[in-house]
Amino acid sequence: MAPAAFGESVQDLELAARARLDDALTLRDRNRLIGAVYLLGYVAEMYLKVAVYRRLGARPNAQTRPLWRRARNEAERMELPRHLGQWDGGHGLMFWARLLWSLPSAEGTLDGRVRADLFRHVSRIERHWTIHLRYSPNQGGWQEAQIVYASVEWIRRRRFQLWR
Amino acid sequence: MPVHKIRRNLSPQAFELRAALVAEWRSPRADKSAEPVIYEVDPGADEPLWLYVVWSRWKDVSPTDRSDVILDAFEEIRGKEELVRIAAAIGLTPAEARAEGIAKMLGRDDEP
Repeated sequence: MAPAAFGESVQDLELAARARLDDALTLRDRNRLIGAVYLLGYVAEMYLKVAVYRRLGARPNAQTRPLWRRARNEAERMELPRHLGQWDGGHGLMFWARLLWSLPSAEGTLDGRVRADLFRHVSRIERHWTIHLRYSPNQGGWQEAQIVYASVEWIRRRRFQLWR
Repeated sequence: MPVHKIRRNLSPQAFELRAALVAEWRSPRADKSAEPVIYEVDPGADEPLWLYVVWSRWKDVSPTDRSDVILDAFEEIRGKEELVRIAAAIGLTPAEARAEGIAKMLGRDDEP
């Protein structure tokens, strides 16, 4: 649980992602499946943003607002603007994934296998999640919740690999 | 575009706290009631670490400075390569730790 006094730092996203993941699993286990998927998408978004910010050299306590701007500038500098169509107000998972695999860290860019797996998992999540899901009157299905959860869990477990 | 790397310098108070934290990390005291209390939450292979430091001396220190002190102390003990593994470095006073339910969250019965 993040202390409220933190403001919005990179580590706030890390802690919030963990908390929302727990919330999503509680909803899933109570068969509130659209609610679970809705939260799971944001969990993926937060973990991807953390990984991008860390690749940009941020420490855990760095504020996210300037990093968010820098991420957009980096995307433009790297001529990724054609993917800004997927920016979606900063919620586009594929945008963050594309940026992530384009940014070098001290250890270089992501290796091909990790990139391919990341693309596969982000694509799977995006097939079932958008920020507009909150307007859906549907109940959602168990299988789709499980698919999204498995892909979010893949990102969570490899997030250190994604940012180092 | 020029690159400007701006690193905030620690205040004299924070600098003193860092030295005390480094000393505790290097030679932890056996007294279980002694502060600071350091929790290294390590979920295992290839996952990032969370650090919690519970300490009454954080009282007048901002959350950002607390994190800086913890990160700088950790870097001094373990080096830059390990520092990149830290996902969160959080300083809490004992009262804040109780309010946040940190002991419960860490799966410990002993309240800090």
